[in-house]
Amino acid sequence: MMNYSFYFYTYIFLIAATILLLIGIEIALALSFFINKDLYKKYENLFLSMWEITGTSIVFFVVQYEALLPSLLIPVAYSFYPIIFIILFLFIFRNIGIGFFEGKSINKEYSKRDILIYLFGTLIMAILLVSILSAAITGYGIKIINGNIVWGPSIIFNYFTLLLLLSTILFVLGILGYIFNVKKFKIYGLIGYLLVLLDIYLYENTISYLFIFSLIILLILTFVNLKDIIQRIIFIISHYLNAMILATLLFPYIFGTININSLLSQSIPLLSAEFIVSIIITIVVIGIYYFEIKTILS
Amino acid sequence: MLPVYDIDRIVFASSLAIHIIIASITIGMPFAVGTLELYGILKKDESIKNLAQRISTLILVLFAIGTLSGTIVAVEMYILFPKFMQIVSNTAIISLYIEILAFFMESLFVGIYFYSFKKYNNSILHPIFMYLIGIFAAMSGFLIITLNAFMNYPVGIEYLNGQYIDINPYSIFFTPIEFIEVSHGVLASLEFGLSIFVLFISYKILKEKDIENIKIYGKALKLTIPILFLSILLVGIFGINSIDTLAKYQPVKYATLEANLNGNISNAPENLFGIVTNNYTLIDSIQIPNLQSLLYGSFNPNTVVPGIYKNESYIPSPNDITIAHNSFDIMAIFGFLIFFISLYGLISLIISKEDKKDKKFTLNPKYTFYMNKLLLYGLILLSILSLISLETGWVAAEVGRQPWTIYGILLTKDAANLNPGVVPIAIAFELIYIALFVLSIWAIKRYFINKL
Repeated sequence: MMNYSFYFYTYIFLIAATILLLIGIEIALALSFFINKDLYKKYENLFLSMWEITGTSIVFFVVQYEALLPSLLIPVAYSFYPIIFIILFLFIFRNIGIGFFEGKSINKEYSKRDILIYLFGTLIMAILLVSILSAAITGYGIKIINGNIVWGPSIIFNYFTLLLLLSTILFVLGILGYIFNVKKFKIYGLIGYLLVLLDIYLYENTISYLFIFSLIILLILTFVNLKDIIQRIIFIISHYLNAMILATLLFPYIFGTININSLLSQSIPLLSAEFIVSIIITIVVIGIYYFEIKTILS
Repeated sequence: MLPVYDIDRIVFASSLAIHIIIASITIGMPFAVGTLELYGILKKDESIKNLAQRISTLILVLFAIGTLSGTIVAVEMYILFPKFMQIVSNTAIISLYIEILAFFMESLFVGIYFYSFKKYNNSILHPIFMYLIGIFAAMSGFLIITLNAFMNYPVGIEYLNGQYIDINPYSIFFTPIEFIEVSHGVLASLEFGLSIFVLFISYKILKEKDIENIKIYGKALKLTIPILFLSILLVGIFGINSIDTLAKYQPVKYATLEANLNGNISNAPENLFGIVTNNYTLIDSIQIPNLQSLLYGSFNPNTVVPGIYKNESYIPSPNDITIAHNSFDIMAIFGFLIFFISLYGLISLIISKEDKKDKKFTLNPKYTFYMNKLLLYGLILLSILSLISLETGWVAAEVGRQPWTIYGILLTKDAANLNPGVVPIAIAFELIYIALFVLSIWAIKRYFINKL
């Protein structure tokens, strides 16, 4: 029988990794407006249209969570509603800003200030997403009291989250190096990855040998000259590989205390249907998005 | 002080009310813009093609706001009604799951459309991309309303070990009310989206002084009015059919909407408006004798229509009946007005001659239709009535199902988040959201509509 638990937990983590990659590309291209105008001009249309697929991926993540983890819905809704409303507010801020920004961009009417607003909104969203991911892995700042989840500010202000945030910022700069081939930024990606390894070591007192594969890949990408397209593909594959390895840290306790194996939906027919639909969504979306990128860049 | 679950309801309803507007525009408007652009390409009419492409910017902005309002509704549905989402997750989530595919496709084609003006200039592929935006937006509507049909008439699930479990995930698409409810809902959204396009064009004509520009807008109106009329006709047909389906499969809801408070009766009058008192008596209503039985039973006044027995358990509260019943009446009456305005527009479009150069108020349908101020203001009124009909229609549908969220399975008070701490945050958030929405409308008008 199909192991739905493994499939869906990996899948939901890959969606999270996709969101992080897309947000990383958004921020990297927004930064290029200030540090590399030629690069920005080349990928301007890609940058302007990216938020659509990023936003949809975030919604996909929410639905995926709702579909797969029904038992987690009530405790999380009762405990995390303030933080969820804050994220929603920031999401409003970002989307309204971006919507007008892109509308204005059709006639190339946007300004430096518009890009800064875009950058700010996206950056805050990235920080919140990384913080939640970090809390899900470590459970720092979270306690279960009488069956209720109780959390505090240390959910963000702990060494694991802060180090992960720092490495994410470096990862974004690495994107400029590995995906857009700005050579001097590659080293930041490598440093960012080393910080992630340090973070995991501090948390677990050990590091899975699986992480070494990605390290080797990044070393090759940083110090060996490869064709642009090959470099991009290898970098993206290594990003997803890292995400899958990181996903293993969620087991067996999400938020440090909730047994993940008891959470998945119990309806096998439903999981089977979701399995089929998730494969269709993945294939169709990747196919059409490839067509969109080709159209945009042409 | 209202109970927490009623505040949850109000907060969620206001978010949904905003989202319905945006989502419906993104269903209807792409069909109008796509048709305009296709016409421009096929007839080599650059002015119409340019107009379509300029208006399409508006769709982009609305899509951005729609993505936002849709996410807010999705998250609020979960935060404010976690038990509901838990049951849906175990039973009917497949429609939301597939809806994501539609949403992805819509957003991808938005990108493809807006960044391929040059690549597909003068190719019919370009307006087809716009049609696809509308088709996938409509598909999203179809899937969301499918979930709503499940809430009204749950099927394919089983109660096992203390929770509801799905035994057939796809049965949600085959409830007996699915076809009528979904068709009615999606067509109503399409109609409203088209009416907003017509409102925009009418407003532009009324403001414009240059006769050449007015002619271009007039051509746009000529292309859109027939589609609008057709959509209104279909909404009406499905609306009338949905009353029969309602009476058959959701008799309590039917009775609520009609305010039938004396049980099943024959020779039932049509109750227009009114207030339901605490002892379930309808007062201050206009009653047309026998009409309800006549309409329900193929013109037989002795036909028995479903009614509410006030001693029954789980019937809507008097307040809920008042809201649902009056909303239903407003929707139906405005529906007729909308039909007659669009019919007048269609007749005028067919018989009028395009030779007048002055805008004028006249009832004469032969007067050049896009110069007839009465028609132009009528079309603006039509879109306002469409908005009110759309909203009151959904209010009637949702309040009419109370006290249930999922009929026969989950009461609204059990579905809601009862943590009192959620109230101030949810209200504050909602006020900010509504303020930002109003600000967005102002900004759309200032930065986009006025510049088109």
